[in-house]
Amino acid sequence: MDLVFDASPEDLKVFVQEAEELIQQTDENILRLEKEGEDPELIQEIFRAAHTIKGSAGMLGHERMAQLMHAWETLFDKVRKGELSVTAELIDILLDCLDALKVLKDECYTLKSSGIDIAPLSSKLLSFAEGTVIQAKDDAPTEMTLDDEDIQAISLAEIGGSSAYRMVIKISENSPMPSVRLYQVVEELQPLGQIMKSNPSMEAIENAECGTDLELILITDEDQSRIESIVKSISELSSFTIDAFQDEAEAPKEQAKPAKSKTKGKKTSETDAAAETQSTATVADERILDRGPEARGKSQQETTQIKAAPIKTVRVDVERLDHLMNLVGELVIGKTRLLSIGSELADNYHLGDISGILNEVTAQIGQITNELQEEVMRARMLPIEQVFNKFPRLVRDLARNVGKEVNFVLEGQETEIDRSVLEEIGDPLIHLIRNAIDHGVETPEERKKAKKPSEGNVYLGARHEENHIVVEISDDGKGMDAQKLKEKAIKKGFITPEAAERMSDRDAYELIFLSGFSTADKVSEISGRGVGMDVVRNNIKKINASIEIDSELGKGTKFMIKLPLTLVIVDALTVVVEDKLYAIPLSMVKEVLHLEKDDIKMVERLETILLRGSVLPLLRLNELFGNSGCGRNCDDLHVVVVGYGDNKVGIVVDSLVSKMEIMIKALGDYLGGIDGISGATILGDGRVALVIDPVSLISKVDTQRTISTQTVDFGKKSKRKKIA
Amino acid sequence: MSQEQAFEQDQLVVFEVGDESFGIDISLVQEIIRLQPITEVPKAPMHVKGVINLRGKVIPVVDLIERFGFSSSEETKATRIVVVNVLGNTVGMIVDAVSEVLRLSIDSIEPPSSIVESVGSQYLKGIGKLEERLIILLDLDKLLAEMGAKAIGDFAGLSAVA
Repeated sequence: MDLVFDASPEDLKVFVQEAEELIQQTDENILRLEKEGEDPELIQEIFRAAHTIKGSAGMLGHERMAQLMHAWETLFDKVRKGELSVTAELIDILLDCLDALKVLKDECYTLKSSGIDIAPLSSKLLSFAEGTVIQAKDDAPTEMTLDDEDIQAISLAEIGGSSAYRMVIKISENSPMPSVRLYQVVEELQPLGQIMKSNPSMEAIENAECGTDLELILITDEDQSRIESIVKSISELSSFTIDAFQDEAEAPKEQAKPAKSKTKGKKTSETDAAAETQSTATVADERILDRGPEARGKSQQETTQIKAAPIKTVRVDVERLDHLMNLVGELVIGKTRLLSIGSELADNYHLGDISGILNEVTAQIGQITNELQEEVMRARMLPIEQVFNKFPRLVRDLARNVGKEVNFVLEGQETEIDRSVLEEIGDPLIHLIRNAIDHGVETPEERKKAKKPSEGNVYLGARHEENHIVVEISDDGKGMDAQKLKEKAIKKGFITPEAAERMSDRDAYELIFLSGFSTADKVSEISGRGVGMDVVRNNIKKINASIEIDSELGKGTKFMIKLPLTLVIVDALTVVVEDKLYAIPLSMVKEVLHLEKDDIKMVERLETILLRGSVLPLLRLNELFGNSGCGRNCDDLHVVVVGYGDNKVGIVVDSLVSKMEIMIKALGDYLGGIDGISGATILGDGRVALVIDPVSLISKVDTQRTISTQTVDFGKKSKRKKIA
Repeated sequence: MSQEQAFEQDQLVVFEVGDESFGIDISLVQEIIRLQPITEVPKAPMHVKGVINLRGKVIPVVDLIERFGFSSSEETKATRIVVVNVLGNTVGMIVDAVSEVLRLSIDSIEPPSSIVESVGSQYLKGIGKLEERLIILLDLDKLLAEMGAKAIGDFAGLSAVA
């Protein structure tokens, strides 16, 4: 079904952008709400965002979106007024709504109905609002009628050194017999001290005349954490809160509506006005989809209020930036070409002054080009936040799904990275974080057994390091068992037992990148189908990045991804192999060696050399690329050592040419992916040189090494002997 | 259909490979350039000669002379690269010479028959008759798709499954 909106394509674009921002912001805010509790300002912000979306959706005529947001508002209004407390269920519903909202928003792009039915969601929202409101009203009398005697008893107890706690306990809706659970709660709590008052009353609980909620005041000598741990040990609880009881006489009343009273205190005049607008708008919107001029006016007013902060940025179409970057790339090539022409003129023709002037101009253009390149690159940079943002939600959902407690720490969101890299990094990160939660972090019970806090930590951070961005994902879970990995690899036929024996732990971890290798004993919904990690590595390879694993059994696992700052322009070393020019990205070049023929040892048909005591396999490009292999007889050899971390390989070349900036251009679909080549570049003289992809060369050697029983490992063994 | 046919005249770029004339729809042709130094790409599909620099763009070049089974004749001054836009790719084709651009009315085009041996009939759109000459009309979509990585990729996919 095609959708028609009351707006020009331009307006739609603006709306979608605005909605995207608001949805993302709300997504974060809701998670904060769950974590930090009911902060009136936060609630106000969520409310305002929802209201803005509703207003604009109404204007566009996106009725379902407006309807959903209206229901959301109704519910959230209750939260704002303190009539509804923030519970896990509430958060769940809100997040579900946001997901639906995202789909609805996308309809504005596609102009096709997604077929999503929002009726159940909005009725769920409304009934949630209604239901809990009624409950709150029911609760109110019992809770509020702490008579003077009770309060006196509490203060007496407090003078006696005990403390009073007000607890709210909710049993999961799925529990078959909530009353039994509540009874269990009471039973567990009674030994701790005295239960002053409860709602529902003790008799009601004993007679099973109660719902899923329990509110009580407990006077006890125990401290809060002990109570918490006791309550936590009861299963089927959906949520509970424990607060110290406030001993002022008016405390109960205050407690009933804390949010509202605080809100009033803190409100600035501006938000006050906004709140007023909202309440009138809400009234107006009671006629749900009657988008009268009145409602329109209000929401516009609302929008302008949000946009009041001065913005000094301009939205630029991504394609335009890409094009700009391409042009700059051409300019860089042109600059390089000018330089070579200049030096040729100076060398071969006696032009005197004019050649000097040319060089001067070239240098100047070069400088401007460099600056331009830097600026354009910077304009393409985005904070990695854009990718990181979606993870708190992902982690929360995953952890809940698998029943694990996860403390997720994000760091370095402000680190800027090229758009092209940013686009590619999302999926691998999702995979790695899923793995960390699914395989890394243990269940709370397992963690307790291992004498760890029941809450696992998952860390995701980004930082600058030299010419790279390093993204680190770590967990303090069970770590990887190198032995287990090897056994699995043997069982699956990836390696032989002999090879496994000689394999270092670090190499064993790398096994998880093999396609079809999965360490999970059980295949879960989330991960463990063995399609994950090889995809991760491929994606990472694709963007010229590298990944390293560090793991300690029982302590956790760490993945380090080293990303290039940009994918487009890189420094490269140009080399000649059999009259053909190749460029090797300088970021991967470790060193350049000069060898003689005799330095090369043949280890099972694989050429290797000993480099400062460690074994370095050699590769000959011409043989690899299927050309005639006549170069083996040369006496003098140049070897470019490329690699990352411990993975190194030497590329034998005929000669080194120079270091230069190149712009990597994809070879395109037509040629398909070619092993060992990541693209092409145009040199100063207009010729095309192929760009070597060291990562795929290394993995090529790796597979040879892993699969073959006796190749390079043989060399390692002899080295050990020597040391012994 | 009939109305369209009455008005339609195909404008063709005609080029020579070996001793045969081939025609392709002019709208597919981006430009025609002289032969340039070609950088070989290892392990590229069989008839892909390599890549060239087309004003800052790197584009693949295929050798039609080889593909059509003519022994790769010496490069001459007439040798050209016909740059075409097909299937979202810009591809250069090496041909022996580009002779002309001409109009051919639809009714002088005959459906392909099996007479033409050099090209598999699946790449033929038809045979154009122009006075005494016969021009082989090529279905570039199919021809270039077959010469590119797609077909090779499919093959690799099959072997991976097996």
